[in-house]
Amino acid sequence: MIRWEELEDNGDGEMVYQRIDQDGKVRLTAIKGYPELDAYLAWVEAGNNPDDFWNQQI
Amino acid sequence: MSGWKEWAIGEVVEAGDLQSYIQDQTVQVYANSTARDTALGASVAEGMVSYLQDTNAVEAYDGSAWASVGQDLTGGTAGYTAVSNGASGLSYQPVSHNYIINGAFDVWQRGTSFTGALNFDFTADRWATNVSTSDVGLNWSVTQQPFTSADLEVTGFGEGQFYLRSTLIAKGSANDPRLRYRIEDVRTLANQGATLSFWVRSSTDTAMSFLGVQNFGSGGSGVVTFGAQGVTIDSSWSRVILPITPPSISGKTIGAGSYTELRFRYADAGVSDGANLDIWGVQLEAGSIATPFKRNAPSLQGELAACQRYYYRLDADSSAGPLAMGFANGTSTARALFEFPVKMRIKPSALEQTGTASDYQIHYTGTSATTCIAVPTFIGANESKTYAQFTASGLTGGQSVMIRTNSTSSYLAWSAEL
Repeated sequence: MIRWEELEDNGDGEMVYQRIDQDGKVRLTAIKGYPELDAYLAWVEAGNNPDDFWNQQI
Repeated sequence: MSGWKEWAIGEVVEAGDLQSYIQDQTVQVYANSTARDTALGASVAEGMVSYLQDTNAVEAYDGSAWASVGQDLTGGTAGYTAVSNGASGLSYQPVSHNYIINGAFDVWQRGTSFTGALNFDFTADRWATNVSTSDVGLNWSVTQQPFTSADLEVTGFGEGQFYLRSTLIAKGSANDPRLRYRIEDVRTLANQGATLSFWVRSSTDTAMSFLGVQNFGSGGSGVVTFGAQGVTIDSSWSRVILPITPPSISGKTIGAGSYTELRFRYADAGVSDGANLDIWGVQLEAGSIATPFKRNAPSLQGELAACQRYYYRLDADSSAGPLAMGFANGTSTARALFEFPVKMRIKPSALEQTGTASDYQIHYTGTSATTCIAVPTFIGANESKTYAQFTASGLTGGQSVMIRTNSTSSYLAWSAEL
């Protein structure tokens, strides 16, 4: 499944995240504020299964 | 009353000729309608024309009463425009542009063919797909299709280049795959009569449906749906015209990122594998009458710029195409500044790229370039500019560098979509 992971600090004190797609490629990097990343982190923080994030209806 | 007569030389004009050929067919001038009625009495005849000095009105007698000549253009609401309602007389409505950006599907920055589950994926600019959790096993595609000359005659818009086709490759358990369009700011047309129009056809379907959604943004009031209605379609292009009124936002709390969403759904029942849904010329305008289709912007360049407020993609035009200037901030990384062609809706917070590190190179001296060993990463942005980091080897800190492509498929993209 697709998942977001921490990558590195961007040098300005903000964490850069990378989205690892199903084929293992990273096609997207983002910082907090990116809607999909924010929703994913909130989903996981709430104790949900990360894999289920992609099946939820928004 | 007589009409017209060709007079012979020497012919005598009788009293009846003068009455019927001349006096009754001139424009008679009176101080007012009372004076006219008194003067004419029962001598009125169908076709008489009079001018009333008190009202500056020209009236014609239709055989039973005097009627104003021409349309009364003093009605309606101040500032509104008069449009034909296709039947009789004129209707009045606000002068309106098309609120839909890329309603003609001219702009496809992300590509021209998309296949898969397509949940929340953008396709043509501003247009995204959406499915629900019940859509297990769904496989569908969205593609750009060129118009034929015959199509253009039907739609009556000669500048149309492409339309959008979505195809249900495998339905699975899907019941409502849909295209969606989000209009920035939920205040847009709220509590105002509006008209949504679009051209549509389907290879096999006979119905689709529409639903509107008001989303009040982050921290805002709850979602409100409106305007649900079914639409009958067939295999020929036809224009669908739907009256809609987004609900009032009175009493609502509006947060950042609010929008009004338009959903165009396949019919819930009867849709089958292989069904196409073709759509073009989507227009949302104030007022109750659909006017001829027009783009949101008056030119293709303007339409592209309107799209780039929400998404900007910098494509390679060759395998060594220039992307940006930058500097090495170490021996293995360089950072480059990119300027957006138009100010974006919000500052982007992500960078899209191909997913292949070697699609990018850092040109650092002479003809020397080093190929990236990690994909470009997002560092920061405001609404006008952004910078990204590129990773390779052989650099010297402080060196000036140029970031370039290493593949014809290379790209970098930033989103400020709703």
